[in-house]
Amino acid sequence: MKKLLPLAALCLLLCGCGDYRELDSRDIVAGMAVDRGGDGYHLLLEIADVTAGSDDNPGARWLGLQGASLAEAIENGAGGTGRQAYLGHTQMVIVGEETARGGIDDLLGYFQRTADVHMTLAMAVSEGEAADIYQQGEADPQAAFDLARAAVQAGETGLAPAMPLYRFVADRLDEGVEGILPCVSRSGDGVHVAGAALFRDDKLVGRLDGDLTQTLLMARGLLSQGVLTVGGGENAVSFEIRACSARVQAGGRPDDLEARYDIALTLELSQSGLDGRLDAERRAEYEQLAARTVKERFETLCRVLQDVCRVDSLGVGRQIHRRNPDLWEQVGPGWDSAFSGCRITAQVDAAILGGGRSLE
Amino acid sequence: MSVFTDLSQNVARMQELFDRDKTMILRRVTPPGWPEGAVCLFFCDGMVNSTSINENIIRPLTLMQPPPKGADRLRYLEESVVQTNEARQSGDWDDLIYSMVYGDTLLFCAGCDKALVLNTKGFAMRGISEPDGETVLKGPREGFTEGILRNLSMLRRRLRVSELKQEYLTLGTVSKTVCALCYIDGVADKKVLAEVRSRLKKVDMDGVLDSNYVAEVIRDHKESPFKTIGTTERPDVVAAKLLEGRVALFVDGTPVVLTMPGILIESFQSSEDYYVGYQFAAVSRLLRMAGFFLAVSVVPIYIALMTFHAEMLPTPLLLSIASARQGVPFPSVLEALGLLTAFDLLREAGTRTPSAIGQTLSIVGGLVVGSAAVEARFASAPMVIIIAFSGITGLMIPKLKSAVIVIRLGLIALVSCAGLYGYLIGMAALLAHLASMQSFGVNMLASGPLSEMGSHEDSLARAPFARMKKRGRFLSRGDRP
Repeated sequence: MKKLLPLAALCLLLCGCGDYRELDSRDIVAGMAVDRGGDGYHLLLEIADVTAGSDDNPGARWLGLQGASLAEAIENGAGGTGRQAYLGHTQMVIVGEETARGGIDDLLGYFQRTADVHMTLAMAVSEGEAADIYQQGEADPQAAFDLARAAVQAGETGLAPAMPLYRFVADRLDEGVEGILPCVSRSGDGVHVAGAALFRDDKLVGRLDGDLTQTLLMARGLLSQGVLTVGGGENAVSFEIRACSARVQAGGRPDDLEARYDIALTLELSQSGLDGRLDAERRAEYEQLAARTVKERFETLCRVLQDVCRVDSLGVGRQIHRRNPDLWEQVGPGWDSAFSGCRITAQVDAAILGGGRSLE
Repeated sequence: MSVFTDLSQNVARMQELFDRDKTMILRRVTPPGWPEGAVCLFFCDGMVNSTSINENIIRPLTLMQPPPKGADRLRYLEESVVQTNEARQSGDWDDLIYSMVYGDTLLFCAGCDKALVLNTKGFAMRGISEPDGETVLKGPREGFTEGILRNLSMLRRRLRVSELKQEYLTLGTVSKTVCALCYIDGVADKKVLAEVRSRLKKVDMDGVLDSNYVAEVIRDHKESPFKTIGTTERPDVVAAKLLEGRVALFVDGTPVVLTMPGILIESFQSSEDYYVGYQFAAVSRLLRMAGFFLAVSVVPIYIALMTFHAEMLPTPLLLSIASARQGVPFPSVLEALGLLTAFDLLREAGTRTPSAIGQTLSIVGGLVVGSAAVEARFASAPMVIIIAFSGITGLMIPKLKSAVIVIRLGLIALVSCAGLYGYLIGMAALLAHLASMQSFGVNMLASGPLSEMGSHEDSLARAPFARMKKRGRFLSRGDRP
C-alpha cells in the first residue's frame, strides 16, 4: 500500500484538472449552423437555455459567432457570454452548401480533436446557407433536437442517409468509397430532412433526391425499413420494406471493370390504388413492378454517379479494394475515371410477404 | 500478604482496604457454642443475592451444630454448614478482594488463616432481548447481554459438545475484566488460535470496558477502515462461526462478542441468510454487495460525470440536472460534501436520540430540511437524491459503515481532481489494499483456499445446506467426521 500511494499520486499528474468544468459555466450547444465566407466562419449556435422552459423541455437561445476559424469563433462566444460553449451534447451540425462545396475537412478535424464532441454527432448539408435553416426554427425552442430526430427517422426510412460523424469520417478515410450526408432543406411548411449530399473527398459535388437516396442506401446495405412507392397517380402502390439485402461482386480487368449488384427486397403491401385484391396473379405483378422500379432507379442512380457527379458513392471501389487488392493497385490511383467506365448492373428480386387483410 | 489467623486483624485489613466504601457490608455471626462474633461475613451491597446470604449462609451458621473436637473449623463450615453451590478456601488477599467485588461473599473465621469464598452473585442484569443492530424477520431472537456467564450459557446451549472450549482469562490491570476465549477443539485452526492467544497476552491496559478495547489492540491493519475482527451480539451467529472454525472472545460487561479471523465476505453476510431459502438469501447478499459498491461509488461517479464527463450523460438527463443546478452557488464537490456531512449529522443525531424523537428528527431532517435546502438553492434536487441514495445503500451494510464513509470521501477527493480516472485509481488502490490485508493469517478477500476450489459454498451466495460438505469450509482443516 505504501508503495502504491506515490504511484497513485503520480498518476494524478498525468491528467489535467483543467478538464474540470461545472455545468453552470457551460453553454450546452444543442445545434450548430456553419457557414464559411471570405472573413472566416459564421456560426449560429442554438444554446439549450435551462433557465427557461421546464426541466424536461428547456428553452433555447441563439448565439451568432464569427471568427477566422471554428475554434476562434467559439472562443469569441465564450468571451461574450462568459461561458464555454460545450459541444458534448450537440445534436445536429448543419453545414452550408457553399461551405460544403469548399471542403469540410477542417470542420471534421475540429470535431474529432475536440474531446467533448460525440462521434455520433449528426451532420447534414443545407440548401443555401445553413443559418437560414436554423433561423427558420428560431421560434422552435428545440429546433436542433427536432432536426436530429427527423434525421434519425429519415435515416431509418431511407429518405436520407443516417450518417453520424464517425461513419462519414470512416468513409472519408476508406479507399474506394465517397461519403454522403443527409440534406436539409427549407420549404413553406418547415424544415425537412430528405435526400443525400454526395461528396468527393471532402467537397460537395451533387445531390440525390429521396427515391435515388433510398436506392443508394439499398445498394449499400444501409436500408432496413421504409416505404417503397411505385407507379404514380391513381395507380401508385406502396410497400412497406421489411428487409433489404444487397450483394456486390466487383472485378474484371483494369480496362473492363464490372460490378454486379444482387438486391433482395422483402415487402408488404401497404396501399394499392386498385381494389385491394391480392391473389397470386396480382402478387406476381406487384413483385415484378417493385423489382422493375428499383432496377430502373438503380440504373438512374448509376448514371448520376458515373456520368454527372463522377463519384463512387456506391462503394464499388471499396469492394475491389477489399476483395481484389491486385486489381485495386492498378485502378485505384485513377479510380474516379475508372468508376465512370465501370459496367454496373443490378438484379433485383422482390418478394411480397403475406397479403395482410384484403377487402375480400 | 496472606490472611491472618487473628480475626480482628482480618477485619481491620478489610476495613482499611475498603475505607470510605459504603457498599462493603460486614456481618458478624456467632454460631452456637462459639465465641461472640467468631465468624465475619463480607460482601458488596448490590452485587449479591441477599436471600442466598440469609438462607444459605447466615441461617445455617446460627443453627449449626458445633464442630467435632479437633476438626478444621473452616473445612467444617465449607463442607457441613454453608449451603451455597460454590465454596472454596483462599488465603490470597487479591483473590479474596476480586471475588468479593464480583459478588461473592467472604467468610472469615476466628483462628483460621484462610477465608471461605461463597458464591452469592446476584447483581442486576438486563434481560435477554433481540439486538437492535442485528434484527431478523425469521430465526432466533436471542441476543447477548452484559453478563458473560449468561452469554456463555447461551452459546453452550447451542453447542452441546465437550469439544467446545471456554478458556477464561482476565484483561485490564484495574478493571480485571473476565474474558472467555471460545472455540471448538479440532475444528478451530490451531495457528489462528495460537495467534489469538499470543496477541491477547500483549493486551496491557488499565480497563477493558468493552470488547472493542481488545479488538483495537489485537487486530491486524490498525490503520485500515476495514475491520479484521468480526463482531456480533447474536449467540446463533457465534455458534455458526465457531462451527466454521473461528475463535470467539467474550468480554464481561458487553454483549458484543469478537470473532476471529474476520474477513470481508462476513460483512455482507446476515444471520437471516441461513434462516430463509437459499435463493432469496443469494439475492439479498448480492444486493448487500451492490449496496456497498453503490454507497461508495454513486456520489463520486455523479460528481465525475457532472464536472469532467458531462458528455456521458444522456442529453435529457443533463439538461434536467443543469436546470436543477441553476442558482446553486457551490461547486458540485462542495455541494456533495455539505450534504454528506448533513446526512451523517442527522444519522448520528438520530442514533443518539430516543427513538420517538429520532423519528421526528428523521422526518424534519429528511423531508423538511432537504426540500427547504433545494428551494433555497443551497443544493440541487438531483444531488439530494444522489446523497440520499448513497446514504441509504450505505445503511444496508452497517458493518462497513466507517469504511464506506472513509472510502467515499477518498474517492470524492480523487474524482474532484481527475474525474473517472481518479475514481478508477481509487478503486484499484482499494482492491490492492484489500488484497494485501490479512486477519490472523487469513486473507481478507478469502472465501476458500486455493486448493479447495469446490468450497465456495458460502461466499457470494449461500449454497443449500445439503451441499455444504466441508466442516468449517476454509478455516477448518478437517473434514466432517
